[in-house]
Amino acid sequence: MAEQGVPVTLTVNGREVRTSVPPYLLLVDFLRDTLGLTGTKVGCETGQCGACTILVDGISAKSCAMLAAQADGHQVTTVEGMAQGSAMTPLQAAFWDKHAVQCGYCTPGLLASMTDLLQRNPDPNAAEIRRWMDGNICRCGVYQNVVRAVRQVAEQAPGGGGE
Amino acid sequence: MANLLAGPMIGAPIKRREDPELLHGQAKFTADLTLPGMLHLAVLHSPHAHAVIKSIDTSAAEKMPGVVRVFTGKDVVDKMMRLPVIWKPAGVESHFPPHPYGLPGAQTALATDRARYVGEWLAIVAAETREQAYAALPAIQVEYELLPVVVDAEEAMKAGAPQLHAEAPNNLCTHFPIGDKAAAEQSVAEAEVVVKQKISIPRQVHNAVETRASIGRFDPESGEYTLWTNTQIPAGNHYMIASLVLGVPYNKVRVIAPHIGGAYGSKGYLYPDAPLVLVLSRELGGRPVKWVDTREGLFRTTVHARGQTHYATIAGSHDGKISAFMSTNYASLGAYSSHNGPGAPTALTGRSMTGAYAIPHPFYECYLTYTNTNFVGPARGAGRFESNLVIERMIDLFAREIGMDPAEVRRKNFVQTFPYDNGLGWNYDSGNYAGALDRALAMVGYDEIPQRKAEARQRGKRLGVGLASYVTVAGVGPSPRMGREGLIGSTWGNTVLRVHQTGDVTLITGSQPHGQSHVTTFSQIVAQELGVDPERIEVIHSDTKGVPYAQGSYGSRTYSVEGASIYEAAQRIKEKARLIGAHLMEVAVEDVEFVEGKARVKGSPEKAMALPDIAVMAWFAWNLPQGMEPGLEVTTYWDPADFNFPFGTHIAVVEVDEQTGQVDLVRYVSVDDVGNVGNAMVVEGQMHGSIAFGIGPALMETESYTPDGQLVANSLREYAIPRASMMPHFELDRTVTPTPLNALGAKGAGDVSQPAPAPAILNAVVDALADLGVRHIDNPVTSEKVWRILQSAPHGKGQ
Amino acid sequence: MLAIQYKAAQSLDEAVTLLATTAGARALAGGHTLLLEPTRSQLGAATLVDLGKIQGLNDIGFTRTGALRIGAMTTIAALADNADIQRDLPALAEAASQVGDPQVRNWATLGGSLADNDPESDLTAVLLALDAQLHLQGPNGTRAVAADQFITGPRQTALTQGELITDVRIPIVGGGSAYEKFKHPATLYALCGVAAHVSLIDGKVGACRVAVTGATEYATRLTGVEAALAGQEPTAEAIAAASEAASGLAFRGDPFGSPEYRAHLTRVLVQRAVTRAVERAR
Ligand SMILES: Cc1cc2nc3c(=O)[nH]c(=O)nc-3n(C[C@H](O)[C@H](O)[C@H](O)COP(=O)(O)OP(=O)(O)OC[C@H]3O[C@@H](n4cnc5c(N)ncnc54)[C@H](O)[C@@H]3O)c2cc1C
Ligand code: FES
Ligand code: FES
Repeated sequence: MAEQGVPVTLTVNGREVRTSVPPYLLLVDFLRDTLGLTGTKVGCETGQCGACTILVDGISAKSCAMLAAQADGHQVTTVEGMAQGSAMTPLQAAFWDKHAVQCGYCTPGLLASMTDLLQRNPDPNAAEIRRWMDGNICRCGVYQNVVRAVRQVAEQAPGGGGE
Repeated sequence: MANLLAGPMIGAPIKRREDPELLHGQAKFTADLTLPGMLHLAVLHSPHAHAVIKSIDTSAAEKMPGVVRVFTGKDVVDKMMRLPVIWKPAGVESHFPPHPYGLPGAQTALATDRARYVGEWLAIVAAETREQAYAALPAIQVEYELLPVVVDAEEAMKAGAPQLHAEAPNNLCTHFPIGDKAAAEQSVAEAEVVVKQKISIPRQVHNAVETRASIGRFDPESGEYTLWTNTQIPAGNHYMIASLVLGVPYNKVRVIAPHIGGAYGSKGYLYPDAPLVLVLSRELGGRPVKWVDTREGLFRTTVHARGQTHYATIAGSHDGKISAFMSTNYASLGAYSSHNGPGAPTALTGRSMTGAYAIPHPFYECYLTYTNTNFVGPARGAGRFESNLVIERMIDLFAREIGMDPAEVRRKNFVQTFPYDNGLGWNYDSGNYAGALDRALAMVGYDEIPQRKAEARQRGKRLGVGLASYVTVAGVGPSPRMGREGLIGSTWGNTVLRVHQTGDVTLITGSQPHGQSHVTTFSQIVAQELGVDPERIEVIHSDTKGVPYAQGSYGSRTYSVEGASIYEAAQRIKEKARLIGAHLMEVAVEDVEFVEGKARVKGSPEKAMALPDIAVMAWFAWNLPQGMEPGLEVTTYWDPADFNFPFGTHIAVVEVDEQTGQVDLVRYVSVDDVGNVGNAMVVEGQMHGSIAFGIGPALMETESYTPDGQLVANSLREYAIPRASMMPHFELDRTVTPTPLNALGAKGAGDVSQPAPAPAILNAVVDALADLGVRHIDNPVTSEKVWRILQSAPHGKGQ
Repeated sequence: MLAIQYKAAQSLDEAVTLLATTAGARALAGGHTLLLEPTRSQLGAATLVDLGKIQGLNDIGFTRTGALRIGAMTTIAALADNADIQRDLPALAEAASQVGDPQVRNWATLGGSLADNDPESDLTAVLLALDAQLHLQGPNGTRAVAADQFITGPRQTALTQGELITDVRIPIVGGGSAYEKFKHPATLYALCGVAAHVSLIDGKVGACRVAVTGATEYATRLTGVEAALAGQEPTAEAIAAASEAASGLAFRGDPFGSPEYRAHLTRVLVQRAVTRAVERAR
């Protein structure tokens, strides 16, 4: 079983990564096992849970549905790379303020999804926020507080606010 | 951090201390850990629900790339005892070969000669990578001889049913009756109104987003076994593994629970992997081994919940008073008992059967059977989800029968005086059930419901409103009582509280957080009582090296039991600090009080010693009161006098699409009373989670088996979990009735309201369809079920 | 899983050659079917030919004949967000906006959602109703196939070994279109989805195409419904009566919807989709 490595060059959390990856390797496994970025989680094999959601070129993606090889040439951002050091993005801070984290397993994926939403629509209403969570299962039930957190970001953004 | 002088810390909605590392992706869960030299495991499941294992040939698999060894049941059977069952409620017989400690053994970690459910573990591959381990599984050759299968609890008891265990004739584990049957029967016979209903409650799968995982390492040098596993009960696992499974000294085992990605009851067990990874690491010369389950594996082998069929009878008079309630429940434990599996369908369901109502003649019995299915055990709302669904549906059926408003029937029958003995074994501590009901009715605008129904009809929707009140036993529990209930173990809370020389505090708790915010809420108690900034309080938990034997987290016990233990520890620290302070200030002890972090002379607050100054003197011990031990540290073991009983009323408003049968939950109101709270924001979060965990089984979640014992749902493509867009904004409120049972006045809050949503929603759907003559619908109320009802109704498809 | 090989094609020609000459080769687009279970474990030793680096496969624009041309690698999100599609082909925009969840829409592609003729795909029914042409390129050159001919049976299509979908062309013919979906609560795919396109002549139904997905083994034109509507004044009664013609099909079933229920949903969604398409056609 001669396994051909696939050469890839990608940016992960702002740092260039040049390496060779096994052709079958999923992006989520590359991030977790090869790069040690275990903030990105795995919850299913079938694409439903969204625990593995990251940003690829700023767009939310389920990293269990992508090969590491496919990330060649792309910019990947995981939860570890959202903020500098111990700082928090406004969204992370809002998750904290509004208790949008319980066990925290779904949190990295939800942060990636909601980051994408806010980039597209800086002032989403509650129904839009809920729909944008369709790809993220939280079994602890933080959804309502995620709505509050995203609304806080919208309201605090310059020029934002008001439904 | 919160300003300590701004008000009491306990109860304040302060931000969680747990969150920064979770928000930065730095928190380590079991699957995130890697040890040097670690091997990866993949497990071969039985594809058959019932089969004799004639042979297992691992030779081809062992030659696969990266494979180090393949283990079968025969390789480990003489290296470990059977997995114990530690909850055998009175009457549950020990059918299985006993343990040296008199415990009934159940399953072997790997099957040796027979598989009794799909997914049962047959063999384990250890390989250099996870991919290689999984790739080798198909190369294992197993020869099976298929046996007949039974999957239904009631069928399992019938003559001629396939038998699972020679030790358990007719597959019966136990028959568990409570209450006075003759009195209840007589009351039913004499009643003006009698309503009977069969209520089937299918299985629910907890489906934590994080699957189960374990890493085991045996150190050949020290002989120490270390287990990292996502367990809710690290100390319980430690004790069971050391004493009941491996038979090694207690102090040669260490169990660490890293961060846990949700559990909801599903991780509060001793599963086969826990002792197995330790034995395998030993057999592999000390190489650490790691097992991470798949979602499919979770569906097959992580416990399921619910799965009960009740034949219920409610009896009373036309004035709305209920005189008797009886239910006969058929439930399956699965193919074996999980270590605490028998508890939920027996004691937890049975004793909770009368809900919030004073019913003079209650009776409950449960037939608990073995079937060719996965284990059943507790889940968020364990046992009380089932009991509450049954009683709350029966109350509505009774109300309909006598033509009385369901809210009125509830109010008429609520328990009014406390403490109240419900006749089935619970003693309700305190409550104001009508208060919560009235608040919920006001919030939902109960009086305007008829108008809203008419308005919805214009849009082709049938609007329905449903109530569910609840009383949920929480705060497990007084240890002597739990012993009588059949729990082999204890349930007190324990705390080590240490004030260091610097005034910094270390709190060691036996509880095990997996989302419930223990670090924050526990710090709040200590912060308030000792006047210490929460940031200076370290909370240690979840590692049995350093944390004394303790209970872990389940059954809404943590805050009202462990919290009370912490509170007690803080009082003892305060008292010692007061004595030292008085001594050092040379003031009479009676004249000194400990307030706001200081030992202070009453009436002259400027004369005071701050805790750090006292602490340093306590540890240096240069000048302590006569006979006093040095140090400022206490250990408490706090056993509650009894369980506590949170309560509330939830109201669901649904709209049923007349064409498709789809049920939309359009409003959800909840009023809960958990006594005083530790952190209002955290409690609200727990309520959100409990409600979502109840909406799921009400509307979509279900697991079942085909007649040949295959699971119907094996993945999240086949098992629906409610998502954000499927749920409305929850409208929450609380009333506050402190419990007299602990100094905090706090009741359990983690899963207590979970039993409300399903009956509220079912009652709402039945209300929406009432004019079609609908009396009852079993959960989940799927669109298709409702459509079939609409279709068979006299006026056909609506409109 | 272990045996998968990977090749990133730089051009369409290279992709076609790789697919035609490599045993067990499969095109890889968004990967949201191929790389997830249960498909993933069936890949065996497949060589995945990644189309992601090929330029020009995700353009959306009008052809000289006024049809909308959509590249096969266009993501579902791009379909949903495209202003031309929203204006001229609302059924397509509606269907795209209801596919799965945001992450899926961000990466799953038009070509990928057609190529397998997945019985629960939303877009297959829409392309049938909108009379789309699929442009294919294979070892023997290029060809155009009407959506009607592209879908040939359960999970079967007109694609031959090595052939790729390059783009889809949808005529802009006026009238109105709409898509109605009943979501599968677990997969979020279509338990039943109905797409309709209606044009009106003097207030009566002229050309009309209606197709169902999810409920049947594969997306299927409801020619009986179309015939029943043709020439009728599209009153609520007429539409309801026509929906009864959505029968005689082989309906699928699973624990979330039996064949009878899906047959019923088909009738309901036909009414809803046609009603909205008519409103848009007015
Ligand atoms: C959680 C989830 C929810 C989803 N919900 C929906 C839904 O609601 N509705 C819906 O319609 N779909 C849904 N999907 C499916 C999603 O849209 C698909 O995964 C998608 O349709 C496949 O597109 P892809 O680009 O990911 O293709 P891939 O997975 O890369 O490929 C799929 C198939 O198409 C072939 N292929 C790809 N591109 C071409 C091409 N240009 N020419 C020829 N063959 C090609 C591949 O070889 C393969 O056989 C869902 C998926 C997930 C994971
Ligand atoms: S791991 Fe579940 S969607 Fe990716
Ligand atoms: S916080 Fe636990 S799964 Fe979302």
